[in-house]
Amino acid sequence: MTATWAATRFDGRSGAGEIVAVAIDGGVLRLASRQRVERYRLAELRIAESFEHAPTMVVLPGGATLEIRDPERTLGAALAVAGLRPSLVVRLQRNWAAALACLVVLVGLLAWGYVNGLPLLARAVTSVIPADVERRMGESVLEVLDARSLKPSGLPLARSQAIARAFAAAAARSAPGVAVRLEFRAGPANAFALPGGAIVLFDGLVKTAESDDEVLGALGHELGHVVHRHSTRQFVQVLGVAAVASLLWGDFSSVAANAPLLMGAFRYGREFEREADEYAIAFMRDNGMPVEALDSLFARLEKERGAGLLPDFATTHPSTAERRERVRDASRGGSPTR
Amino acid sequence: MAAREDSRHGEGAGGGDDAGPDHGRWQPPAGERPRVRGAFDELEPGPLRDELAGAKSASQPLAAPDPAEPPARLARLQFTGEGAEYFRIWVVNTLLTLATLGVYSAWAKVRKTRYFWQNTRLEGYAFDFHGRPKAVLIGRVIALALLAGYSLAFEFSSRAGLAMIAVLCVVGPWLFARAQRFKLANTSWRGLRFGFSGGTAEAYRIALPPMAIWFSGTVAAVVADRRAALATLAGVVAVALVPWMHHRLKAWQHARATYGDRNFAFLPATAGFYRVYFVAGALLLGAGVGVALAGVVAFGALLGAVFGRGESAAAAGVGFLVSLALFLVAALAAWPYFAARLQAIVWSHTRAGDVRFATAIAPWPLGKLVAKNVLLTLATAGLYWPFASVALARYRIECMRAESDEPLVALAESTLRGTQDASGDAAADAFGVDIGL
Ligand SMILES: [Zn+2]
Repeated sequence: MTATWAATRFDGRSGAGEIVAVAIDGGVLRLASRQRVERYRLAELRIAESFEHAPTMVVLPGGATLEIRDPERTLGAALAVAGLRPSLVVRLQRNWAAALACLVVLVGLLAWGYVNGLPLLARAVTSVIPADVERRMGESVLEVLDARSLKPSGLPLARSQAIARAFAAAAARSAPGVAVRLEFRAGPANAFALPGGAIVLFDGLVKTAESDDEVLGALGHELGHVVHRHSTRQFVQVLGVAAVASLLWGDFSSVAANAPLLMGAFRYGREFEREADEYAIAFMRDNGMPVEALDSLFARLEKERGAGLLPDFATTHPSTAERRERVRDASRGGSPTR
Repeated sequence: MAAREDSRHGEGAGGGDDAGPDHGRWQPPAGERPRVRGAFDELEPGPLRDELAGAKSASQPLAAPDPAEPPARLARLQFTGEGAEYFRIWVVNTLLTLATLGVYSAWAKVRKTRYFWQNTRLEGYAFDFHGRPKAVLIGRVIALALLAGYSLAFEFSSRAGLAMIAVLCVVGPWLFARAQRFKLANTSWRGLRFGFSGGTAEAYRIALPPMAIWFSGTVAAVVADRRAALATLAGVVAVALVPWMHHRLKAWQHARATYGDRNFAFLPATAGFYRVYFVAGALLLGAGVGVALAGVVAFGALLGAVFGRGESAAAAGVGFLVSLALFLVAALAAWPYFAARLQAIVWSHTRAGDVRFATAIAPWPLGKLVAKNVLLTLATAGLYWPFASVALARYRIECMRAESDEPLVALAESTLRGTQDASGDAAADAFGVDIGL
């Protein structure tokens, strides 16, 4: 009284097949061909996970195979009765509710990974990248920028040398042993840090600032990015997002997938900016400079609104109001730490 | 033969076959139709027993020659996969891959490959894939190590970069041959494995010249101490030879494929490759002129925004999106032409004994399908992706034709695997590398 399925048995040595009838009976698979009947214990068979519209493929002991037709999808139930339940993964993907639950978990995992996991991973990966490699990365970025768009600084040499000297001394005190290099370029009131310790300072910032303390405050912020290796971490994070995107969508138009990522590559997150601002505050104190200088620079930059897409110093996030608030808190509340 | 002709006509009409399309497509091949009663007597009475025991229908000679039938037999591939089913598989695979930081991707890859092969049928019989996930995992680790090594080596030093190129030239051809072997020797139809007979020495003979040309620009740039002219010349030569390299590798892949004891063959088609590359390049260039104009404007605005004043940020954003959209349009115009024509050339030059192949794949329908896939995938934040994969696979697979003077089934039956055992090519099981070509 058992159900039967039509199947073709192949011996694996030629393409000739033999039509057989398959029945499952108490842990035993029975094959009936016109010449003979064979019996196999289910445990000695390799029964592959089957798909809705595909035949079920079974490997018999000795390497012969069975291609079982199962248009009514009754074989799975018969196997389950005989004690062969599909694996958890297979059960999940056969069930819409389970699959949708997996989708929810997947989206949650992606969101958590983006917010929490990725920064942790980036920090770990960055910590094993040799300093030499980081420096070369920064150099090649600056080379490209110089070739494409950056112009040499128009500052008087004496002025730029004075800033460079003051910054080098302050950096040596605040972050001893950290390789850092100041590059002057023409441009609006802004500055940014590259992997490996190069800090690009635009003339506009020097002109906007009313004192050297203000310029050094901005450089302190950039030094914070260098010390925390923010640009390398950012780079690793972008790579991580790209890797996950390619896991999800395979070879799906890499242009469409990567364009927004590349635009985000130079934009630090709120967290990095906060860290850099905190570093700048400590930097000012370490060097006996007034923390208020940062606040007055922020105020002037706010009037200029010269921010671009590639900030960094004159970034718009966190908001300038928020940043000034923090700086004022620091200058009011804290006495110099050292 | 009549049986198969019937089944094909029956598909569209779906007429008279109450067992559903699945059952309707399957016909016991003529030579296998049992003609004597035997063990089937154990079965309960019913249509299945009648069919298997060949009560009435099989007593008629099935291979009766049909005077109206053309001498060549045409067999088409059918694809039975469905987007909704593959969507669930994709979600679970992706979740597990992410949760295991990519390790599960090897298992996911095997399941995906099995899904697409098992849902592909030729003459009513499905293909199957037997690759082991662990082999895929080892292959992926090797490929990832090489990729990371290559992309990082030049960051260390020029010498490290050159050493890495040397490493790639030494292991690359061997890996390429292994990848073909893994892919084919783990694929079967009618219980019989495909295979790849290209040897290691041959792999180096075939793959080293293209690799050498490909890397010559980089090597020239390093060795000649960034002397621009030499590197540029090497680059131009490499680009001009891309169709030749592609043809050389593709021809080898197809010429060394086997099924059972049958060898595939590939007729040279270098000129055809050049034609396809040339027209696709011209299409891309033509569409690219407009893109380039928009792109220059956008890039200028972008740089202005990056280093300049805030107002140009919006202009850059708009310009960037416009040029991106135009680029997608250009790519959508050129890629389907390239993919469709190249597939057509490759298959029309492939033989397996007396069996000839062809594909009806055409640029316009492929382009429409790809455009739809891209738009819906973007509009659904990626969720349409599995549906898109299935739709593309269905189109590509169902365009395929195999033509021969004898029925394919008869060919398969006469095909013996020789001395190799049924468990397949053991060496091919060690590890598999994904090299898409
Ligand atoms: Zn910053």
